[in-house]
Amino acid sequence: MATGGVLSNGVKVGYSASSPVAWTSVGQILKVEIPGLEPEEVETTVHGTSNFRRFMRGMIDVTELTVTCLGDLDEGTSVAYDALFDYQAAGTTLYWRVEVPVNRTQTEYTAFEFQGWVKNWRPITGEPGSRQELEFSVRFDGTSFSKYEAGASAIS
Amino acid sequence: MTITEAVQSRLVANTTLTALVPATRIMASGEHQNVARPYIVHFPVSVSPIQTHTGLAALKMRGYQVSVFASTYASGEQISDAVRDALIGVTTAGVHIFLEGGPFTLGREPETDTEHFVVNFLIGCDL
Repeated sequence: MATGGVLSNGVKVGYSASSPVAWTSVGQILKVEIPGLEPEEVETTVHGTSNFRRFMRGMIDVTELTVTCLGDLDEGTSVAYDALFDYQAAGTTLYWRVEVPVNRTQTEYTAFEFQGWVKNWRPITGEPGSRQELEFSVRFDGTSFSKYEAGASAIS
Repeated sequence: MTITEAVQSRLVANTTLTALVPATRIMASGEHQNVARPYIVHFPVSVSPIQTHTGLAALKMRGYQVSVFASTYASGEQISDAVRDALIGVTTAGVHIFLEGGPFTLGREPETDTEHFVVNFLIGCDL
């Protein structure tokens, strides 16, 4: 029900260290850059009468998931942020799920799932008077990047 | 506590300021009549909420105005400087007050023969 437009509000990001997955929600999200597929180009142009170059799809790169959150460096109140720092240090590959609402009532979501490890994790303090933020990114490390049909949220 | 109450408590607790303007003449916006000069009226003027994908954040940035009314330019300027010095910083309630603009004058109001000075603040708080 996306015709007419859906606001960019209510995006969810969750991670799971295990399978079967049990999603841990990342809270206070300000901005999400959702990964996409960026395949390489492999030229297959051969001599002939055509003026057109031809390409076939090469290996596929999954771009990084980047999440910017309203910062809270207190591990007592933002356990997930602290856990992601530990996962970054350990280089652990996690399961990730990003949900984007597909209707204005936010009852259904399109979800993307993949595996990856926390690449960057950095607090952003800015100038006095600006808000603290936390930014982390996830690098793909799996065999599939899945997009699911719209359905109920699995992240709470 | 409201943001107005937080500002009020900080203003009336500053002895340098209350030596210039009695605490009873430091007021939130309201129906004040026949108030002796100098006096101070203060009130919030704007808010910049922080919206996250999971809802409104508790932290807000509030614009706040303190108006000083005095008989003379010198008095108004002196009181405005004291207001600025009284408010900026971090309160015990965790309210962060930054100077955003001023003190500056809005001129003399001819009807009341009063100098009007303004000091604007940016306040980071949960209020």
